[in-house]
Amino acid sequence: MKRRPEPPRPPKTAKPSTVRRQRLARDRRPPRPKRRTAIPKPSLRPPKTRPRPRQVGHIVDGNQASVLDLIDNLLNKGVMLNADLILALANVDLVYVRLSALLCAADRVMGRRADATRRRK
Amino acid sequence: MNMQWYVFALVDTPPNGRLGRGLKGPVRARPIAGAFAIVERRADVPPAELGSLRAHQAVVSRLATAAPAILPVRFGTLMEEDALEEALNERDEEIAEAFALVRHRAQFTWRRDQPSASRLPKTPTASGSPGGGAAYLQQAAKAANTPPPPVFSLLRDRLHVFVVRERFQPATNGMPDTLYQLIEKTAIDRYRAMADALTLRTAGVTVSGPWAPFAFAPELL
Repeated sequence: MKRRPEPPRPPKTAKPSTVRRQRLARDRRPPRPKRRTAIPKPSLRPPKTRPRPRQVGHIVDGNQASVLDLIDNLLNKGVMLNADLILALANVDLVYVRLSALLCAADRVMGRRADATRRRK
Repeated sequence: MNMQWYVFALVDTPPNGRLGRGLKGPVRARPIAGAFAIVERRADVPPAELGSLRAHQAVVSRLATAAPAILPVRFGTLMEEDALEEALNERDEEIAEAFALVRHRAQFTWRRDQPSASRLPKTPTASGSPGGGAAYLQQAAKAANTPPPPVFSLLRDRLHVFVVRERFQPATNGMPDTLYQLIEKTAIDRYRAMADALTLRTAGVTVSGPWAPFAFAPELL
């Protein structure tokens, strides 16, 4: 059996060709047909109008805490103030005052006071 | 450095196993006054930043699902052990009462999206002060006694079967009108279904939850 002679190869020193092989016409796929746009059939019925979604509230899951929820839940209860005050004279500490104060909404404080008064009665 | 306890919440029964991480370190349960304080060792009060708030909220939410009753503590409560015991001792009854209210229950929060300027209670300002701190407090208390707006009436009518306790907080300069409802955890799914339907019918309201009962926990610390 005779072997076909191999096609001649370019010498190793030759630069690679920059010309790309063009696809033959038979390789090309025929262009896809354009989609037909649906033409609405004439109807005697009045067209159904879908009600537009109203701008309504939404339910938020507990895991997706919004900033508003965080502030409301954690900070809206009041703020705790802690302070240490030392009055000194000539590097001698004379008076030590420890201050703990709660700043919160008046209704909460007054509500508690009212409850306590009711209990006493 | 003097280390203190940063308090997240009080629980009646601590969850089994590790309590996970808090803001930086591990969270522990300290038995105090017939309850357990959920605490973390810290040297200073965390800054009131979004990251810290989220981390605090995450700890409380985790506990709320695992513990039968939880009383969240306000953000930034840092105390020494003696002060913590002093604040809670001899208040067993009050704590037990508070636990009984929130046990196996969760909070949902309704907000009115855009409170109109006319409904906003007049917040006393320093410039328009009617005279002295007493008058300021009286005016603020009067503003706090504002009845709930009509938009919440439908919600209250439809949801009253689920509601164990509710609290209305009128709008202030920063926050909208808010209605807090405390419901049984077993009713959460039914409540949410109803709430979902109501939000479609009622424009301008938002509901979020379930939360730990932040609005129903007394100021213990």
